[in-house]
Amino acid sequence: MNSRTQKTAVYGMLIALAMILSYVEAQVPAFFAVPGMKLGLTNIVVLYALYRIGFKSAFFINLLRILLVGILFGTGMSLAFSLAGGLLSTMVMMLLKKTGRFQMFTVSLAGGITHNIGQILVAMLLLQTTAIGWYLLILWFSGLGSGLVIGLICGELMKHLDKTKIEGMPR
Amino acid sequence: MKRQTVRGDVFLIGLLILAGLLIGLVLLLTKNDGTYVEIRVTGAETRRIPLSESGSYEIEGVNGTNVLVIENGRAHMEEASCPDGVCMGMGEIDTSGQSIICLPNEIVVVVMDASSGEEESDIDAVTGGKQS
Repeated sequence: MNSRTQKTAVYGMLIALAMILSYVEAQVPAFFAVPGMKLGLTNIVVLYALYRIGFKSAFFINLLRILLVGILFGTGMSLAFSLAGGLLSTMVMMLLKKTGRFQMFTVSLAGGITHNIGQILVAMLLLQTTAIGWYLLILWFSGLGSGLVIGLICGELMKHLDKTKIEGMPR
Repeated sequence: MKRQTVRGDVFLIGLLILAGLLIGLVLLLTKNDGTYVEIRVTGAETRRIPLSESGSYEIEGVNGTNVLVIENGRAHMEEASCPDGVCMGMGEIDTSGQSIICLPNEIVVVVMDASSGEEESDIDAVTGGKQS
């Protein structure tokens, strides 16, 4: 089998999936009163890529997803937020995974928090304000919670995906 | 990716929860009831309104006008020109450091107290004065 073709197909599929999840999530802002607070469904794809393909692919899948979604549906501002949050959390998750001491849901949980921290840092920069106190607290715990949930979902998902016999599916 | 090393997980999650609680504690300890709100548009202070002055105030943002309402010493965003209206959902603020942020219009409303005002008065030579 041509592994390059396989790679292209898998990457394309994962990016498309990540974009769809981004879009789906953007449709339900009513659930969350605090801006920046979200479930982070896309992180399922990023986590999967991180654990089943590698850091580089997870990083680029996330980067491309952010750029594409930002260009298609977002504003410059939302792009800056996603970039900061997404890239920071991907890097932190990669580092934590590399240590080999943590289970996936812990890695995901730390990623959830750092995602929000990245967003807050950009917000502070863009709006030139340091008055973020309570906002930080809320996003800290929401990131913790959503990261945990996403990590558990992805763990369950990987269990099942690993059983499939699709050729070229990374496992 | 099943690992038997649960210790690492417990340690890190515990640490993160602890750090979160610490943030909360620091916030609680430094909590100050604010005396006025400072309104900034695109990062520049445009006006200050004491929380004791109830009423509704129009704020000219980048893409439209928002309405801030102050009642019983608490401030909230009553109207926003943006489609999502996230800032209206941010609720009421009255504690020093709390803020309402409207990204589309680049409006930031921050509650300040007397001490935070003094710090800033050195830097901030330009105050909005009376508008509208």
